[in-house]
Amino acid sequence: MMLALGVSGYGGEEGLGYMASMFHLFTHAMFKALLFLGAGSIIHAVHSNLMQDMGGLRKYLPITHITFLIACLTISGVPPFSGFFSKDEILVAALHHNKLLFAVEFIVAGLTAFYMFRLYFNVFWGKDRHYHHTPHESPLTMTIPLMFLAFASIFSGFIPFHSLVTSDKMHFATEMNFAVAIPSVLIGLLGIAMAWILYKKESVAPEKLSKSFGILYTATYNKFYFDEIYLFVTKKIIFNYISRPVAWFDRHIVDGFMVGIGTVTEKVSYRIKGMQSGQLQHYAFMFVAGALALALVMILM
Amino acid sequence: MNILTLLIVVPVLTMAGILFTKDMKSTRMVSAIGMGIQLIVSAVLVFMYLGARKAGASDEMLFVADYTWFKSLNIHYTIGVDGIAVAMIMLTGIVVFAGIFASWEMEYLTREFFISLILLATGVFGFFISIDLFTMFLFYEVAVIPMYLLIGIWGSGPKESSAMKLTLMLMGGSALLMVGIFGIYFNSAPDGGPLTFNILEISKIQIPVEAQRFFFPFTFIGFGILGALFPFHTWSPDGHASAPTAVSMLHAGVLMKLGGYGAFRVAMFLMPEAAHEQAWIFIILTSISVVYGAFGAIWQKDLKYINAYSSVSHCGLVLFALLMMNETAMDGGILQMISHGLMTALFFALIGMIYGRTHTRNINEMGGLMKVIPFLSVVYVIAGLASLGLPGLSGFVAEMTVFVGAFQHPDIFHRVVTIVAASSIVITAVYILRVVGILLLGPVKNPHFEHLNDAKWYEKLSMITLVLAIAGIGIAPLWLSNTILDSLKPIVEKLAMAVTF
Amino acid sequence: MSIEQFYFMRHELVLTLAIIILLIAEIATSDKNKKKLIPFSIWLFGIVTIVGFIPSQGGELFGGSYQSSALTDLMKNILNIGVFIIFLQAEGWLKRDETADRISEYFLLTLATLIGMNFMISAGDFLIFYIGIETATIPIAGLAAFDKIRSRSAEAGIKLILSSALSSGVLLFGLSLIYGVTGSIYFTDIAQTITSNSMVALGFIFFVSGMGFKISLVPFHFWTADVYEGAPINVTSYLSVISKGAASFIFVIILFTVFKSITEMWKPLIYTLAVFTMTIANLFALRQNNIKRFLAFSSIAQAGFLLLGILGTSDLGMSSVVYFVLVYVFTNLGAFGVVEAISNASGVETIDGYNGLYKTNPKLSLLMTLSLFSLAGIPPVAGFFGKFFLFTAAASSGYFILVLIAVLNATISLYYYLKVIRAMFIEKSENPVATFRSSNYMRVALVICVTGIFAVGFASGIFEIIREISSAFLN
Repeated sequence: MMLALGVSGYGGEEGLGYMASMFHLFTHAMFKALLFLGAGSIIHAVHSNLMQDMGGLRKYLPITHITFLIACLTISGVPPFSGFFSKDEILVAALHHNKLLFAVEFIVAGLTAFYMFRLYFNVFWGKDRHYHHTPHESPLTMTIPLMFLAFASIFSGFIPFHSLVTSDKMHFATEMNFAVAIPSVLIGLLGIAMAWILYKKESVAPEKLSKSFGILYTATYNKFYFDEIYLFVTKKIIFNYISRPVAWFDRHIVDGFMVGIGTVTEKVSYRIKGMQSGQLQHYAFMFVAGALALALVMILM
Repeated sequence: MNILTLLIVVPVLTMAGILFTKDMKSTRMVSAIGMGIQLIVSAVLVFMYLGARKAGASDEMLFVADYTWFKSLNIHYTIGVDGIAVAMIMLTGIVVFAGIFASWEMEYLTREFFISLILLATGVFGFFISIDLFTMFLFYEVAVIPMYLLIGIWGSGPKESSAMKLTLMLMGGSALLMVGIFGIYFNSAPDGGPLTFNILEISKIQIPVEAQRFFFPFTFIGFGILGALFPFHTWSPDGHASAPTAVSMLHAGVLMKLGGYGAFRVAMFLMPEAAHEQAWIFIILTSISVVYGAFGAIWQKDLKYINAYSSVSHCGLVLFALLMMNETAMDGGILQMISHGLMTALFFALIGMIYGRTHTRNINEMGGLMKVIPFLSVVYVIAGLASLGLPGLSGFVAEMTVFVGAFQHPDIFHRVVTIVAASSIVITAVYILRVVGILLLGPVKNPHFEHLNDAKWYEKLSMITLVLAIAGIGIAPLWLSNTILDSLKPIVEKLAMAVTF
Repeated sequence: MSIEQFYFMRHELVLTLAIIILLIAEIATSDKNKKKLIPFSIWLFGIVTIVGFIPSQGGELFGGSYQSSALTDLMKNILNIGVFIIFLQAEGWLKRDETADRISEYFLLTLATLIGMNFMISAGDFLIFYIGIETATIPIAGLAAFDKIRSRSAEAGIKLILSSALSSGVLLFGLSLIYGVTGSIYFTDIAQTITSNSMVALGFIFFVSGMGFKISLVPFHFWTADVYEGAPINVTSYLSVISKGAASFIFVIILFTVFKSITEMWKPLIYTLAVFTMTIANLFALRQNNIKRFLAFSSIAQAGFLLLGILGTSDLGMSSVVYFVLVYVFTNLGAFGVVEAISNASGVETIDGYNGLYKTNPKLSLLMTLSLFSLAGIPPVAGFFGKFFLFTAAASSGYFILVLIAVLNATISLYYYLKVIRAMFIEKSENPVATFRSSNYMRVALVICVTGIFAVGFASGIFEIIREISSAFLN
């Protein structure tokens, strides 16, 4: 999605990227929301958010199942769902802009389709797990939004977005670029097929695959250790090595300086107390000394 | 009577009314009614202002009234407002109103408390309507001094020393400011003629650049101290932490805005050449403020300290934006003042209410509050989200505008500081979410907390007022932004004219 | 010399008359009725004050030795108002049994010094000036030692008389040097012939030293704290307000008229004195716990601020000084009035002793707060305006750095003023000053002070009148 913004320029031909990103943002909102709500509905049903605890849920959660499937198809860019249209336009924009970006985007699209359907097959197909109590469909308050969003995911791709949103208020026509559309659908379908082969039925294939990929699989399994890195950065670096010194510096140096002005003033006040001795001869001495000092001031100035 | 003078008269009458009350209930009723009327007057002023502009009034300031005060020194009581002042007045009206309800249960010396609080508010209102530097300065000090009593008497923790530190540092600021004002006054007629304190008149002439160079830092730092400019911000954490709820609200929400407002209306508007010359120093200082405040907030465990440092960061952003000296950034800076005023007031109100229930402000002693006091917790989340700049709430609009404006400068220096300052958004997210996580989610840490009561009606009233304002600006920022932009034009033009270096 | 010309001297003449009436009244009243002399004297002085307000044309008498103008009338009237307030405040203190037999002495001595001050202000030559200043000083030593059973009071008296003897000597020496150079003691003659040379400079320094003693400028201030602390509070307030005010008046008049042509010479001198006076006095005031000593140092610091007005060297400078003294009269007498009322009722004279005062005596605490804020120069009370105009005057001569030093000093002074306020409002106390009701005279006095503290600032007319009179005087 951010990619789209990245390839977008402003105005003219280049405005395509801008429009595409807005369009994708819009459709993305639909199906991503749908996915999250669907996930929520599943978690609600099985009281877990680990995929190992799920399987064969299509029987128990028919509505969730269908809507989730729609969301997955949309995100994989299968026509005629909305994701297809918006993603297509991003790819077109990317192609205009930079071939390498297009390639990356292209592969990512395939991966997306793969992991989404891996999720889908794992959760809704596969074999039943030992549920503590039989999962049941979520109440209407949860399914109605699901259905509405599914509806939107299907049809929002037909909105003539390119004439509504432009970066320079100039409409420009886009046509289906089949040279881009067909490969992109194909790679989506490929991803789905991979997932189907690997995860539709319980099989050893994924195990083998994961072993053959070795480190990469472990790394991906752990989300490339992003969480750990994040925690390391916040907890260790920001907290301990930046915030703590900053807080200390603020307390002791900056504030210490401000308080120090006050303390020094008090100290000086204490030091000069001796001048006020109460003895009249000292006062007389200071008086005359003061007059002489004034004379000095006058001479010097 | 001029509607602006009414903004002074209503609080003064309220204070007089409080003198005649006998017990706590009647005192707070009188205060609430008085500040309610004040809120209405502020709202009416907003509509009158927008109406007048729509009808084609093109003067820089509207509703101007001018009374000679000290004739021989050409000191006037001159009042008038532009869009910025109107917005600030509305902000003050809202925060003061919410503040009264946030201190509904003030039992110790109730009358004195409300009188001091309203006196503070009077100073703030007076400051925003002033065009004359003398009256402006007078109201400025009227607003600062009650803080000592408010924190010293009704505060908590090391209240005496915090109150003293706050008062002395702010008065030190006003000392610098006074020199700056004299500098402006005695250079206000370089071609002869009567000297003047009137901002609009001074803005028509050019103060000699030599004088500007000398007096700009005085004026800017003088106001900057109140705006928590690094390294003069240290009064703020201690002061806020010790202050009672309503005072923190008013102080962080409104009083600190006096600094930002004065910085551009007096320092930059009247001395644009020096502002351009010396901007880089203050831009560096304010970028430090922004990031430093955010980092400082992460390490704190006391809710009020977190918010106080966050205020340092946000108010630093206000000054940062103003120093960018282009229309967009300054617009953002003023939006940020308003946005920060509202959400920080909301924060402090919430912290006060949570503290009133849990009797601790240490985040590590709390947890799972979402389960026991859901209303307060949800509002806390809203305040937090506004603070970290979630779209749809006021903070996003403001910060976005600031950074967009700041990025319009093509040179490396501005780019770098903008990126540095913008990084604070991430840090802000870290500390806000961390606090939300520790404070509201998870299991209830202390068994006593199971029996806490959720917000009372007056607390809800206080919070809802603020939340509505925050969401209102977030959802429909354009009218506010446009009003401010209109009024910014003369200032930006004057600043732009001064670019000769 | 005609009868009308005596009318110029109405302040002095009416005062003399009042003194004679008091002497007769003292003889006429029996020992039992002595206390009735208090209200009698107060109202008698009230009449004197009112008479002083009758306007008159200015003029010269005795060949220029005595000068009267709108400005001198104004100055005398300001002093009269102050003395009237002090008399009102004195009632509670005088009616105690140990001072009952000396009531008329108090009034007579005070009025005698006031006559001295009036002559000093109206002086047209250095002789009258010197006589006035001595008349104004010596009886005060008697007043300072008024509580003669208290050794501190007696000490204050002797300290005052000895150090003022020194200062008078130095002052006289300075005057004689100036006379030696210019050959005249008349102000107008000196103003015309004086030029800046080293002899004049020396004479001027001794003159400033002598005056610095009266106004208590650092380093000629050392007597102040001891005498203020030892003397009865009422006398302390007289010293700090009236005595100092009168000396400031004549100081500014002489600097602006007699030494006008050597302005550039004395400016650095006054600059230096101002910086030292403000700073040193503030540093001393920080650590005081005795409220009288505290107010003593505070009043020294105020004198330092006053010098800023003198540096204005224009009608703005002069009017700011006169205006500041007017503000100072109400402000300081408000503060001293509270101190005196509390001291009379409970004997408490320390800042710690004021802990929890607001609980027991809210009105007095509020009044004290107002006075202290006014001393610190916080709006919207009169002290703010007073200070602001002084600083404006200094800034008009281009002394911005000095103004900065002064405002920073004002910030330091705020610290110790707030300490008193903290004691009254924030600190808790086991045994605070018990609730009491001060006498009606004291209440009237305090009401006048409060009115003054508010009105003198807001009513811009007062400053405008002073400004007009000052510029008329200088031209």
